[in-house]
Amino acid sequence: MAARRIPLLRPPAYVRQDGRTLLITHSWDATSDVLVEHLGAENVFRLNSDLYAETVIEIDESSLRIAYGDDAINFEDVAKVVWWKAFNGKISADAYIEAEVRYILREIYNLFEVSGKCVLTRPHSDQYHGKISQMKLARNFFAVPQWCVTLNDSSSRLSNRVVVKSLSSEQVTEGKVLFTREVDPAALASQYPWFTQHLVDAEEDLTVVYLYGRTFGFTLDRRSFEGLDWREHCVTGPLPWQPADLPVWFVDKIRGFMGELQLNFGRLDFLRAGGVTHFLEVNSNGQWAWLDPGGEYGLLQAIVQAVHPRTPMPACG
Amino acid sequence: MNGPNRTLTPQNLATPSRGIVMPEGRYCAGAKRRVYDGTALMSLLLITFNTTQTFDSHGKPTDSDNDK
Repeated sequence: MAARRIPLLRPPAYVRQDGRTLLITHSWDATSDVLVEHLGAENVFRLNSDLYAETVIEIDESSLRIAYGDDAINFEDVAKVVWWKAFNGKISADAYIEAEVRYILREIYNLFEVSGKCVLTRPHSDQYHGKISQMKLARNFFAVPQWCVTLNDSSSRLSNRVVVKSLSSEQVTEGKVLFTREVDPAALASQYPWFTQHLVDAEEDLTVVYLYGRTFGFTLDRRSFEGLDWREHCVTGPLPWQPADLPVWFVDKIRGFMGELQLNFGRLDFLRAGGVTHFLEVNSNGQWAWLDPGGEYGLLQAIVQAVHPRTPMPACG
Repeated sequence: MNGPNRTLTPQNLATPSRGIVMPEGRYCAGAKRRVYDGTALMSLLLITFNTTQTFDSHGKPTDSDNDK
């Protein structure tokens, strides 16, 4: 597969020992709260997209300065940059201001990316490798349940038990979404776009956080929730995810797959059934903090270490 | 062409997203985090939330970065 080439992270020429991490995010983001807590507020400048009205930004040919409250940061003060869901939700009632602010934030990220200071993920990284591209590539590494994406197609390409999913994950109508659910493919109205896949009668979900070559696996017993889609239940309370050891051969497959996609970070979802691990997708901007909120399993520490301003730029080992 | 049995649409397969009404939070510039009124947030770390916000199937508001 000819994956879109993403510039590889390059180490900066030097890292100031008093530099900070610029966290471009949203003031309501709980994962960013966790990062700030563990990095130390003094080591972070948090640029919140939704607080743009109180934020001062000055960029010209030779300088960049961002200020919020009594705090300010200049370009040379930034050791690392983390983009973490800065555009979750609308940030302004004024569409023009919203577009301009988004543009500015993306460009701030771009300026630092050229300087090799960005870690973890990129803005809108799914636009470079969405579910369809991922599944086609994944067949070189994993078992992938047979799938089909159709539009204005009345033929039922999949037989037996089939689930329907959303590609974009956007709301179908106000307040309603399409969770993964079993359907009769012959009953799908053909004029709509459909993403269907063979149903895997799985014993457990497996999710793996990939971080610069390291992997952190967690499993969820499917008997712990009703239906096929654990996401439908996750907002009502924590589900009993358990840390899982991954065999070396499987970790090597993940590394190969992520290397092909040129991703340094992501959360991969799998289903386990009858001794076979089936790939579902990788989310290159996937949430992770709920898997290790207390720092018991090494994931929290690994991410904090990767984004801390006083550690070397992370690289795939 | 739809046959007589091709009746399933995204609209009639969709289910209500689980809305979360969060308490008002105050952004603390010093701590660089939002301060809430005693609400435990750990169970909500999966999502990025907002006040009176509903979420899609990945637990994200519309018009957001890809995430879940």
